[in-house]
Amino acid sequence: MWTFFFGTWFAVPGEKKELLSLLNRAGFITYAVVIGGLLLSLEHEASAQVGSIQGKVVVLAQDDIFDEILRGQSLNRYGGHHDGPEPEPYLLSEKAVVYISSPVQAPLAPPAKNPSLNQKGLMFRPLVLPVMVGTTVNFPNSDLVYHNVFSYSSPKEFDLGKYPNGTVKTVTFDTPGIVNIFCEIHAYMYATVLVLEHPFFALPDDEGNFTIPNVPPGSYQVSFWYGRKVLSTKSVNVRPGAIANVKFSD
Amino acid sequence: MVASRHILAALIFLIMVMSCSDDAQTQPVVSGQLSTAYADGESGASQYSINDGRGTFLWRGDLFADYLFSDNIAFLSNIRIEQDLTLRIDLFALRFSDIASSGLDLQVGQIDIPFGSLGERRFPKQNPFYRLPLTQEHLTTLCSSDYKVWVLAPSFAQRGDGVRVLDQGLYDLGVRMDGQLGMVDYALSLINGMMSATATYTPDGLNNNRGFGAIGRVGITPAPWMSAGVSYGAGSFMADQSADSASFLFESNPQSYPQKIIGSDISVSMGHFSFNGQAFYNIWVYQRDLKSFGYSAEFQYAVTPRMSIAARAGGLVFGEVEGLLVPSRTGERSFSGKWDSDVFRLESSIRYNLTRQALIKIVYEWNHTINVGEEPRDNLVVAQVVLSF
Repeated sequence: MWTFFFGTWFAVPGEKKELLSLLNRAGFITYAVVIGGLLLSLEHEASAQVGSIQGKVVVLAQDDIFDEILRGQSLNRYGGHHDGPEPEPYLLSEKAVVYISSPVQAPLAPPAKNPSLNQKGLMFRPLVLPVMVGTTVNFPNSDLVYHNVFSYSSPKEFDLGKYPNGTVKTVTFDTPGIVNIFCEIHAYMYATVLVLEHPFFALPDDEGNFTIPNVPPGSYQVSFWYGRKVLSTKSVNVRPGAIANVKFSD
Repeated sequence: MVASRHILAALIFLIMVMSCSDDAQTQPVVSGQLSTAYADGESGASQYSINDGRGTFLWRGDLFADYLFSDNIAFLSNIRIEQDLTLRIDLFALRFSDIASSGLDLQVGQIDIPFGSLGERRFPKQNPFYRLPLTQEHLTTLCSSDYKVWVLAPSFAQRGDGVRVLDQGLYDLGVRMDGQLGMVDYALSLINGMMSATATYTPDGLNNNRGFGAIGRVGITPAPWMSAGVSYGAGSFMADQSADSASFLFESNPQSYPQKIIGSDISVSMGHFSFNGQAFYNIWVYQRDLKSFGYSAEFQYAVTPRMSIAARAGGLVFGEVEGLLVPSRTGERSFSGKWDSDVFRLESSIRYNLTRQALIKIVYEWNHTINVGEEPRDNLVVAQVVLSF
């Protein structure tokens, strides 16, 4: 059959071949336009089927987490001097998360790119890292000293051992829950990995604004995690194609 | 430093006053460790037996109360109490960091002596075993009450009167300076006592030595996984009154008979494995030099996130003396030979973290006294629970 097909093709004279080629191109363009339009319409339909949660977090009270870390570093007795990066206060986006804390019905997959929980300036950065269940998190050591990251939390127990600057170790979080992370060498180092069943979370920007996009319609509980705990939880109703507004304050 | 309960009350009061501070950065930091243990050992006539080999419960509390006055000034303290109900203040120091931006730190008060790298392994949570290395525990035949070598009646030392080569946790009254030049760090201290004669266990908490002991350590950290150091110390290790009590031994005062000690230490840690080793050579200048060599090698491996295993081997080897005048039950005699029996201890432990604040460990100690007629039965099993806060 293939011999017949190619034989016929090669048998076509030059002018006719050009004509056929033009017709083929025109057909392809038409086909692409039709498919593209179809996809756009599907996407429009899909976006019309989901909503989003938007809002602002306002924290007036001063937290002393950074001061605690500095005190721990200053009162260190046996660690010697530290020549690595200087500690810097946490940004709001490193210590605050807004997330849906009630069940969400939707087929979901973890992100392709691994998020990171860095060790820098004898601190974990960020202080809280939200991830979807099944996500693999990178734990790079950006300090010049050893760190030994571990957790005894029931959703994920692990001990990465001591490892130096430039090394990245990974952990896959396969059970939802709160995972408290510590360093065995520097007792004042602490962070939380929030392992969620879905990707519907957002990190507020420095002004406190956040958006959780593509949320399936429904009624949800939305929680505001700040520092080391949930500060408040509110109910929201997400409608197709609409924005649900919610505001959190301490 | 042995202290009364009044000091503890005063300290707690001080902490309470400090906690009234409004400045978040200058709050007191109070933490601690509480541990209880059950020790079951053999009942041989040995200084390593606990409660003469009767199975017994033990407990210990360590309180760390620190205060940061400013970025560069801190107060550090360790308070320890054990089942004998004696309160001991091991560390009680003011630390001035980065003086005049020189990178130098200065500590004054009751400091930890910069010899070796025992560090946090002094405390039950970080120490994988029950006791300190044998090198810090062994009571020699040189007795502190009269500074005579009771080699012919070693039961004196077994009763706890022997002078240790390294006096347990190594804290003493004095000053200490620390600094760093690239990968090299150094520490120098001037104390009233010496490594064999700290004030930790004296009744009044003071050194009764004359003169000063100077101790220093130079360390190097060529890579994050390894650090090594060399320590040296020299100073008087005898109490002042020994010139009279042991006058038949001495022609001058105890300062003429210093302790000279040189040591080295190494720490290696990588992944789930860590190693700590130390060795030293000690001379007590005496009627004849009393020489000793001590060593300790400690391995730890984290088998799972919660469980780790550890082993430690350590020992002391004593030098020979020729024609040393020693007391015996029938009077003074000339003695030639090793001035104490060599000892060796092998320890193994398994440790399980119940939570981040609670752990349980089981330790087995095998003690071996070398070249004695009948080796004392003094092996020991200890189960210990440690809580930290």
